[in-house]
Amino acid sequence: MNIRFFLFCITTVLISSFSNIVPAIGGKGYVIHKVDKKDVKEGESALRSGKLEILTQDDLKKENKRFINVTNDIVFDKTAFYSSNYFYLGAAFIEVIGNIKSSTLVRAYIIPGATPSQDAVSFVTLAPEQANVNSAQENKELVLTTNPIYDKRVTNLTLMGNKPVITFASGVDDDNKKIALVNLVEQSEKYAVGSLVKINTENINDASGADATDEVVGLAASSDTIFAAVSPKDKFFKEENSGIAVVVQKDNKLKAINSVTGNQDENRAFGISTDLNPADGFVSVSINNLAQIGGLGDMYWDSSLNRLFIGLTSVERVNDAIDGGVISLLVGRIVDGKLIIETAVTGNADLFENNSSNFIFGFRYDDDVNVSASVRKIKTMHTSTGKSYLIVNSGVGIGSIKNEVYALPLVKTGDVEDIGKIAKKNDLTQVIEVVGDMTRKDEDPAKIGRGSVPIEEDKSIEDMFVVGDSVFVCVSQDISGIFRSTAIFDGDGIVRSWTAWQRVMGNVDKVFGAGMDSILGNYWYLTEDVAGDKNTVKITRWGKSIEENGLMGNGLVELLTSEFTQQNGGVHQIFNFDEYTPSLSRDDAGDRVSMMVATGFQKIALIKTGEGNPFTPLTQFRKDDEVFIFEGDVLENIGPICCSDVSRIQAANSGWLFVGGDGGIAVLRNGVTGNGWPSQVDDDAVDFENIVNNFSFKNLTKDDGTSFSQVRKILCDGPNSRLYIMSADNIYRAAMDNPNKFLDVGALDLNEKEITKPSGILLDMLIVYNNGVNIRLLAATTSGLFISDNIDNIDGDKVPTWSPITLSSGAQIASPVIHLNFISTTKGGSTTDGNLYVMTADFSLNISNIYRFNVYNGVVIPITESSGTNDFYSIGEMRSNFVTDGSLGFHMLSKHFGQTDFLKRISIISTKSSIRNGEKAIDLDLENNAYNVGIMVQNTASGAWIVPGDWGIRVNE
Amino acid sequence: MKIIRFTTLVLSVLFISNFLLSYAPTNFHKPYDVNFRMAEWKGTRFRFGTNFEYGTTNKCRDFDENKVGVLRIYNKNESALAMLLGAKRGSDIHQLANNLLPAFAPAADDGERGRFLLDGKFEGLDFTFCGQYRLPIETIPGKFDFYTYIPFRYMRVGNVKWNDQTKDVLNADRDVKRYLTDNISDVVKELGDLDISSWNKTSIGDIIFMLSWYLDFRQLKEHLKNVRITSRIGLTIPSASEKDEDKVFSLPLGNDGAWGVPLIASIDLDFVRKVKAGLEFEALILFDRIRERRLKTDEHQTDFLLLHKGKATKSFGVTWKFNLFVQVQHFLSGLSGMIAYQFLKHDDDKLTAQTNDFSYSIINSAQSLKEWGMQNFVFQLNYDFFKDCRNCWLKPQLSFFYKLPVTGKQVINPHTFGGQLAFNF
Repeated sequence: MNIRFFLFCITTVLISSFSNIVPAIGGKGYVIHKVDKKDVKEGESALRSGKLEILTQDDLKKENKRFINVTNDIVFDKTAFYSSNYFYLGAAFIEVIGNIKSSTLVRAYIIPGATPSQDAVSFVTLAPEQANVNSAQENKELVLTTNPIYDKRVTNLTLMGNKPVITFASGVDDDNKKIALVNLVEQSEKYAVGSLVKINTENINDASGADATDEVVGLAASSDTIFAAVSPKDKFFKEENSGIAVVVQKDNKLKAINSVTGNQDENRAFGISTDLNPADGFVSVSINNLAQIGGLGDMYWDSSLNRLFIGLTSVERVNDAIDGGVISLLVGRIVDGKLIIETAVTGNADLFENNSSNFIFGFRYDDDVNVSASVRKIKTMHTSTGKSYLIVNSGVGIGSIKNEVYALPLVKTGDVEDIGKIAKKNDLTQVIEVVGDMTRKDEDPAKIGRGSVPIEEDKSIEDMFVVGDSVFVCVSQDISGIFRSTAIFDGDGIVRSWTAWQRVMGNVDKVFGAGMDSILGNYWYLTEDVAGDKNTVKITRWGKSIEENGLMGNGLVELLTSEFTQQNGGVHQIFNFDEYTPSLSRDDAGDRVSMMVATGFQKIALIKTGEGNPFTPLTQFRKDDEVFIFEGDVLENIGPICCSDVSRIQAANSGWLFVGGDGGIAVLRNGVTGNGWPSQVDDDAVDFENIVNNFSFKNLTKDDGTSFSQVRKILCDGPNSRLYIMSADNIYRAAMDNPNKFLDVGALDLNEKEITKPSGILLDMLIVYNNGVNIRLLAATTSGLFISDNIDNIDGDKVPTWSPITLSSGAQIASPVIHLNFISTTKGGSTTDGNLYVMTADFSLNISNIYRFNVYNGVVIPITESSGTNDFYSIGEMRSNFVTDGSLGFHMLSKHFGQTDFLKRISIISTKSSIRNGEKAIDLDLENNAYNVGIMVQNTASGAWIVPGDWGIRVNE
Repeated sequence: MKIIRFTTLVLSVLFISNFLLSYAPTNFHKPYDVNFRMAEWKGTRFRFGTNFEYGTTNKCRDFDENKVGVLRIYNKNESALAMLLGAKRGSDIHQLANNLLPAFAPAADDGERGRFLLDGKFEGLDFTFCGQYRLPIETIPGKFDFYTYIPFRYMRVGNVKWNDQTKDVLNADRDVKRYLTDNISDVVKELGDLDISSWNKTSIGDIIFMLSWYLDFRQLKEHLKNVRITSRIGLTIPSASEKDEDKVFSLPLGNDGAWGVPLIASIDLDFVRKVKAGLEFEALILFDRIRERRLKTDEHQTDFLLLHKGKATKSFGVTWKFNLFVQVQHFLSGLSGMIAYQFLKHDDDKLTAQTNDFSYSIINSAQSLKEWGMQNFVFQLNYDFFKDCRNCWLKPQLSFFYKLPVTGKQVINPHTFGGQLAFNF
């Protein structure tokens, strides 16, 4: 035997022998527990060890299981999401049943199956009855004692890295003055039993330094420090001596220190005061006059800026009749071990316009009205352009407005005392100096979602998180689910606007806490069961989905797979038309519908996806009820169908659907009259049954009788009633001005005109409006990206002036531009105001790049990347399409020389190396013979992603 | 004077054939193959003979030793999309490739799109003149012979069919057909001056000079009567036509223009009852050769659809051959019979580009550069007229053989047959 092989075997045996032993604590080599995998059934034993009967084993055995819920009377109230498999939940209420008590803290995770469709969700408890507390030892071995957090209610939950930090309460002792840090005993194992707990043995003091707090009301944590919002002795967090305590790990336990001096032998919180001249160790939230605080809104530690952000609620003047103001947003930092907290802008009344509620986190009023400022939730966003923003769910005004979310620019570099403060809206390197520097809530850069979250204004947002350039909010009202808004950048990479709120994750469940796994793009969320108890965790997955109401897995996946056979390339493309698409949109919200068009070989499917007020996705998909298949001679003439658009005309009976492909184009219209469906904004909702019964496709030919060929894109200019047809080497335009053009018998000529194309073979095209009326074409060709000048509406052949779009360096795009992906500020499919992601690719050289542009008012300018390069990202290999929602990016390529990474995910962040390192191929649960992928698209009704291909469709929901 | 004439003859042949040949991976015998060795008549100094071999097939063995169509020897299919890879920016090839990338119909290579299944037929005929002269060297033990081989070869790759595998269900399929595969012969001609039609060639092969020495060790044993040790060394002169790089199916009729040195050692055992057995080991060493060749610009490219050419040095792998035979001599008058087993292996060839336009690893990913080999049985009947012409100054002999291919690796190995006619005097 080869000696090296022998040594390798010995080493392997030794490593595997020790691999099940829990890692030593503090490097001293103590062994406290050994896990034998043979004794652990997946999910089961770990749960029993915590005596938390939360699994229904029958459910676990189900394939493709997306949710798990507890079966006894436990509900969860607190959530914290770190990453995939690290979704923590804290119990709000535990009813003791017989002798069964429960763990208060659980972690949801995925039990991986052989394929994604066999994955199952499970819980593991993190608060077993016995635990080692503060590294207590006997005979140099850690000992297990009663776990102080076992069977307790979790009152606050945050994360230190991936470890949960909680406060807990049972109504006895001083539990509510304690903080527990739960170590994951063995992170490499599937079961992270929380049997190592650190806790403070000495109660945490309030800001007086003399008295113990009445209660810890909020938590945040950095990688080594815990920040605890503490109320004064026997008082609420709003009274004098409320403050923020700093808790560190010392002597194997948690210890509150003197936050003001940094002395670790003392114990004092940094105070939050309403005094105009606060004492040392206090920060005042008052401007010019006395204020009062309602409570703590949120605390958030930003590990990039190293700043603690504190939001206060219901901060108002004590006396509304007296001139004064408040600031409800604070910023803290650790300097030499001590905490310094300041207001996010200086407490200068001149920074606020008098009697204006337009300043997001504070105000100055002399009117005698009861105005308050609240910051309820806080997160930070570090954009892919290298800027930093504070994302706040806040409200300023009379009454309680809770459904607004704003973005505030932050100073991220410069003087230490300035970092983390609110930046001038026109200079993100400087702190606010004058009122004109302040970001106002009626300004587009501030208004996340372009308006309120679509719930009642006095209802709370349950949770909020940020991924990439997108903000997500979780709601549980009549409208429920998760909604997303994405930052739109100007040429300098500064946020200039936001997209409208868009439902995501493919479900309308009430969501009480959530996170997005930024590796695979799955959503993890806490929702309620049928009884209304918050005890259920659901996770979205890529694949065939499952048959549940509201999911595309409830009929659509199977139907499209059977209708669009793999032999014929499956579903070639899917086009989504949301409820605001002109010709589908209605003034009466109850009449809005949305639909998708799936195209394939000689066949299309019209899919109704959503309707009603509030607008909700359809719950099931049945052939001839919600899904309508069109095929026949006309579509056979086209062959493979690759593009589609609706007319986008808001005039009587002008709702036409156009499809195109290699063999030409066709229109769906009433065969007798040539009319389209009723498309005025005051019409009733589009009647799909009427379309199916009375409409049929008709081939549209050129006036010389020949067919269009190699059609690569169809675009409709609704306002000007023009149809644009892009083939490989021509752009045609025809007026959609007369239904008689679409008659079966005696039809008028289409009267198509040619628009001289830019150089190169045409690959993609968008319509860009200038001043809302004048139309410009953005054409992607093998020679680059070009924009035309205004193309007038006078019918006739056109010779527009095509200008190459330049990059931030001033150079032109040298590679073929193969795909244009647009993130629009508005819904309805407009491509006029937003950010453009341009994918270039070179077949021969096997490379792809992604560039970004700001598109506004007919002008396209490059976005300056923080990396200093022209491109946002160089993929390093050829990919065919790129789609992003601002949180994650996805690039696609069909099977290519044996490579079958049909869909790959990238992060939307500013550091290219991090994008590269995190690039991940998504497992779509496909058969080995899969070969063709279309462009992924979001079903805007349910928010689920759809990936078309020869397999039909795969979804994330 | 004789030496001058001889030298003139050799040089003439060399100048006539100034094409380069590559070593075609077929199972045809080398002209000096031991199985072409004819019986020797004592006392004669000269032997002159001819031999020929013919074979045809539409099958071959691929790298995995599977029996496949003869034009699928290197790749299961040929990729027209892959041939567009690695083109210089702005070139016609580059432009054509990028025409295939519309947003809603990008043409990726899905294993069928742009792929061709090739069918065809191989045919070969070798005809060699050989002469032997017994050198009058007495000072050294053993016998010395000088051989000259002048081969003539005919090869044909015909009945070529390019069967497009591209489906017709996606826009990309139609684009690829339209731009590429519907008229692949014109496309490759225009883009790379490449002729993908049938090919045939008749030419002189590589002339070979060889020096042989053998020594007999007579045995007084019950069964074994003689042991003969033989060694041969030769020089192959690149007189054959080379592979025409602009014709896809062109084959070299010699050693790809390379000078070569065959080194051979063998042992023959004579037993009682006129039974003879032998073992021979041969190594053929070819020297590097620089010339313009078709080179890959991407590792996914297939060997028959290469549009780029560049000057490159080819370092040939060594060819190893092992031959074992058993012969029964004169079992019926002058008739002898022989069964031989041959094993041949040609090591990997390597290319080194002479410019910076090509990647070493990519150009050497060509499947045709990978090792190849074969195993054959040879059945031979030989009739010599030595007894019949005992008193004649000219002693003829005649033989026929049939070669049975057993298996092989990346080789065209048809069933071949051939024969010899030789005269001792």
